[in-house]
Formats: sequence, structure tokens, C-alpha cells
Amino acid sequence: MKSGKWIAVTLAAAALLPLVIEASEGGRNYQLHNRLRFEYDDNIRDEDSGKTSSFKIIEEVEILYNINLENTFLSLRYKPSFVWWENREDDETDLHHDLDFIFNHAFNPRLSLSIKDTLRFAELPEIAESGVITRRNSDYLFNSLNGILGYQVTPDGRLELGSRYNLLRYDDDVIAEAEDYNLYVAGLTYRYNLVPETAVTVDSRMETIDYEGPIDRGSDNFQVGAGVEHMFSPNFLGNTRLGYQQKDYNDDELDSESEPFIDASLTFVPSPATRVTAGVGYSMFEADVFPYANQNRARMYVGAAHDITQRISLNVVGSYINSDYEAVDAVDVEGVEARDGTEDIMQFSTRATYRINRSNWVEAGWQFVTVDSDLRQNYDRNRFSVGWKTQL
Amino acid sequence: MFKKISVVLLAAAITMSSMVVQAQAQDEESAEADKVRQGELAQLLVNVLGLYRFLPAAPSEQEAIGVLLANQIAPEEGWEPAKEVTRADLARVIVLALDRAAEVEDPDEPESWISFLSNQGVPIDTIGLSLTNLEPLPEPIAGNVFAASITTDPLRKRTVFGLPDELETGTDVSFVPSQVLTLEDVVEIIEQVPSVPPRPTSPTPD
Repeated sequence: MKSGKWIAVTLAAAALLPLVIEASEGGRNYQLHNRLRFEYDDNIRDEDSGKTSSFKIIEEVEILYNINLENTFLSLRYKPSFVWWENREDDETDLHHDLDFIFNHAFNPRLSLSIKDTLRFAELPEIAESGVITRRNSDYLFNSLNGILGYQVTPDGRLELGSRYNLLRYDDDVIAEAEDYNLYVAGLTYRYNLVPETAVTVDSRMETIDYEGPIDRGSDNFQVGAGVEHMFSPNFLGNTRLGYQQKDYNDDELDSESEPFIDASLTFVPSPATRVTAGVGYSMFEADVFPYANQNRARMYVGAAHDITQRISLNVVGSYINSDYEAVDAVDVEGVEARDGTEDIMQFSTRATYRINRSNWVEAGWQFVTVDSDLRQNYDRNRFSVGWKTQL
Repeated sequence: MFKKISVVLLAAAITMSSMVVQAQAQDEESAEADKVRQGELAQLLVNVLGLYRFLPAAPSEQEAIGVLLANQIAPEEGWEPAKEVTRADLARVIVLALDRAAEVEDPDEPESWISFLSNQGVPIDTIGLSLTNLEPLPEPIAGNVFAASITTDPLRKRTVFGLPDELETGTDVSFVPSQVLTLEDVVEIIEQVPSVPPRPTSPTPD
């Protein structure tokens, strides 16, 4: 992943340069945070039995820089994170890079452009046990570029033309052959404000995913949908989108499929100190398991944040995913027998923070995940951490 | 399909270009400046407060309001997208965004919020000037990982790649667990299908 590292380093330097310039001028369009955590992980290899546990030290630096002009907004955020593992002998360290870029520009009161880019570069080194590789080198570079051109047709009607390009590249040749892909999306949305509290949308989407390797799990996906955004009260809002989608696989052996899709989410603020968010969704989705080309996935989550005092906050979130895989949606790979199967993944996470002063926080957290799968390994995993975050 | 996508994008861009020309002509005819609505203010705030990263590109007013609510930033009566922004509303959201509400003498009195900002030398005569005093929130609370993952919209949905620990509603999560092959998996693959590449692991977290 040498090229990936260079890209990440170059982008990081580009993100830091304006920060240095701005800092020398005494401006305040930037922020610099440091977050240091000590964590205990009871199952670092996601194993069902014979778990390996380890302490970790996680060091994150976050740099955020904004340029806010009259009609233009530009922002860069770069967050490298370094992880040291106390009990992972083959490779004791990981270094990840996280870069976000956004550019918004209003050409005139009616026409605007928004571009957002998300870059992720993660090190997931090869892990060997007793001389046998238990995980291949999974270093990867992922980038998602998203652009929306919006036009206010009438005071209440807005037309949006959107596109998206996702790219995934693995360092390891064997994984790359099966997993590297390019994903393209185009879409049109018309949004109309029925009343100030309610907007309705109609949209169409075309999506195509192309895998780079010889095993083609790619497909073309067409959606038509409609949605509603509604404010039930000034402190309670929700939205939903539903429609129909058709999926045509690149592999001629697989039959096309069509399914309805739906998602809904809400944000509720019952009191000034409490916020609640929740959502559900169901659709055909890209498969996480090889050699399947599709999964039917249902997902839900609930999260809450509560300020116990002015200095102490508690955050809790839980999610559940149910995925159905069917053998008829798997591409034919010699020696691999696909079968129908289901996966259930539950996740729970909580974090408490104490604000020492305006620039320092201490925190404690617990994360739990449990995987029950017909197609891959089951496991439970707990992580406990304490940390300190400071604004520099 | 890729060709179809290109054609659709091109056709839509041409259509929108012609609409832009018409719009510019109309805008020149009516140059009267509009008052700023709360919905528009919300869209400006999510940018300067660094909350954009929890939202898709070009978020709607409601999406912007949702993430501001999650961060306890709202006018006294809550967000009303169509309502014009008043000085009191603006003062309140600026103070909340600065996380200095506790320093306001009489929070129930709108003038008190304005006075606080005046005493701090923060101008609130125009929204643009006021926003220059804001910085990204140091501890933002927003549902990004799961919220983006339940959406069915390909333009907005979350893909399976992220960093090992991402903040979700203020908590750390590993979105999708890493898929590590066990010794048994590897041995089984080697024994049964030696000619086939090992089942790829997915990068982590997700």
C-alpha cells in the first residue's frame, strides 16, 4: 500500500498547511484535539473459543480546519490514530488515517454545489499463530467522493442531481482479487415543502458496483423512491423513505431480483438534557460475505445522550442487524459451496464523560458485540476503556 | 449501466444549466434581499460547528436541525424552519454553540443572551459576522455510523469502511466486526479447496 500511504501523507500535509498559516495569523478557524485511551480488549481476534486478550494504547490526533466565506465553505478534517497492542506479538502497532473534506458553494441564491470526500486508510496487518496465517494482510485504502448539485426551482421546490464514486483497494493481492471494487451512483431528487414542517421527496437512483478481480459479484441496482420529512414539534422530527429496487447481476447465472426498501429515523429531545435518536431500515445490500453478491438486510438502532450534570454526560447506543444470504445469490466459485444462511449482529456501546474544564475531558467506555452467523465464525467481544481528551 | 449513469448525469446537468440561466435572470429582476429563516441558519451552523461530517453532502434543513438538536443547540422555542431568525434566536444559538449558556445571567430573558454576547464583543447584527466567532464543537454528539447505515439511499448510505472506533452518539463503536479466519478455517480451506484463494477477511471495523 505504498501509494496509499503517500496519498494519505500528502493529503495530511495539505490539511496541515493552511492550519499553520492560519495559526500564525492568530485566527480561530481550526481546532486541534488529542485523545489518549487505554483499553482492555478480551477477544482481539474475534474468536469463538481460545480467545486472546490484550491491553491497548490508542492515541488519536484530530485536526479540523474551516474556511467560511460569504458563498463558500471549505473544511478539512484529518485524524491519524496510532494503536499499540500489549499482546499481539506479530505486529504490535497499527496506524490509521481518517480524512474528511467538504466544499460547499452557492453560485447564486438558487444554485448550490456540495462536494464531500471521505478517505480511510487502515493498517490491518497479517496475523500468524503457530506458523499459520490466521488473517491475511488487510491494509486497505477506501475513498468515497460525493457531489450534489442543487437547484431551487420554486420557493418550495428543490431539484438535486447527485453522484457518488467509491473506491476500495486492498494491499494483499489475494484479498484484492476478490474484494477490490468501484461503485458508481447517480440520482435525481425532487424535494417539495408541503408546509413548513413537512417536506416530501421523490427520487430515482442508479448504482453499479464493479469488482476488479475475476470473481464478479458486481451488479446494477435501480431504485425509485419517495420520502417524507416531518417535524412533529420543534424538538421532535422524523423522516422515512420507501420504494422499490431492482438488482441485475453481472453474473449471467444469477437471476435479477426486485424488493421493496424502507428506512425511517427520528430525533427526539424530551428535555434540554436528553437526546434520543432511533432508526430502522430494510433493503437489498452489498454482501459482506464472500462469494455472495447480495444480502437482504434489516437494521435498527437506538441511541441516547443525557447530561447528568453540567459536567457529566452519559451516552448509550445499541444496534441490531439481521442479514439473510441465499445460495442463489452467490457466484459460482470452484470448491466453494454456498448455502442459505442468516447472520445476527448485536452491538452495545456506552461512554461517560466528565468535563474537567473547557479544554479537557476524561472518559470511560464499554463496547460489546456479539455475532451469531451461519456463514462465518460466531463470537462475543468486550472492550473497556478509559481516556483523556484535550483541546489544544 | 455505467454508460447509463453518465448519460443521466449529463442530461440532468444540461437541464439544470438552462434552469440556472433562467433563474439568474429572475434573480436580477428581484434583487430584494430575503430574511434568513431558521432552517437556513441551521444549515450554516452545521458547517461552522464541524457537524457536516455526520451528514450527507447537501443536507436538508431538517437533517441539519436534527444534528443541532442532538447537540442541544436550538432557539428558545425549538427549531421552526420557516420562521425568520430574530436577534434573540441568533444570540441564543451562538451562546449554546460556544458552550457558554451557564454564564448567561437570566436564561429566561431573551435580552440576557444578547447582552452576554455584547459584553463578550460578539456582534450579532448580521448572521455572517456572528458565525465567524464560532469554532467546531470539541465534543460533538451525533448519530453518524448507524444513522447512515440504515438509510437505503445509495447516495447517502454508509459503506462498510470506517475506522476501528468511530463516535456514535458519543460512544465508540466498531461498526462491523472484523472477520478473522481461525486456524480451523484456514486448515479447512487448505484441505478442501487448495486451488481456491482463502476466504478474504474484511478490513476491520467498519
